[in-house]
Amino acid sequence: MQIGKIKKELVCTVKDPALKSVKIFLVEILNLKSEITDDYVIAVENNLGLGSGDIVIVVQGSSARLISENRQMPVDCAISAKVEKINIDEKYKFLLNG
Amino acid sequence: MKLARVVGNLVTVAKVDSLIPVKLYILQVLKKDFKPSDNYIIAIDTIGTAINDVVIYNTGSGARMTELTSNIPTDASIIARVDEGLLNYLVYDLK
Repeated sequence: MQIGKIKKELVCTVKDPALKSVKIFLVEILNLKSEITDDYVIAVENNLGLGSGDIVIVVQGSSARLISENRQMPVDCAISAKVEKINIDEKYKFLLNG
Repeated sequence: MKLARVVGNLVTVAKVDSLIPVKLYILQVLKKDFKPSDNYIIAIDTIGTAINDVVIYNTGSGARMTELTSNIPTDASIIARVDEGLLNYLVYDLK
């Protein structure tokens, strides 16, 4: 899992019926310093009430299909939680400088 | 599976119901000389680890093969802790 920041919601009128109940977001991947990297993913979200600018956890692969009751969604990337705080232990703050 | 050091944790608010009882840790992936690499990963703790431990984590659908994570949307789980005694003479000095 990685930490990402929601850039914007993608509105798609034509989509697979299984995706009717989920929202689709463009999420930029963050590094440990909470800086935006070049990497991004398209991720779906089920009923968490998220919007642009939220920091979230992105889960990839087959596990992404476990975010909702419908296990048959054609997705490989999903948002599982909204992050409130990233705690790095004092001893490892140097990782944020280098 | 790879080696990583537990360097922090995450506080989350809105989340998928099955994620409520689990702990999320920030792991700094280690290189083969036990020095920290540039990559991090968020993983679910299945064995009871603490900050500073060197652990083995598992990625992909294999991360859901533990008893705790079978129904949790996770692509990374901590599955073992490496004994510190074994690492002592190899481990990178973090001071």
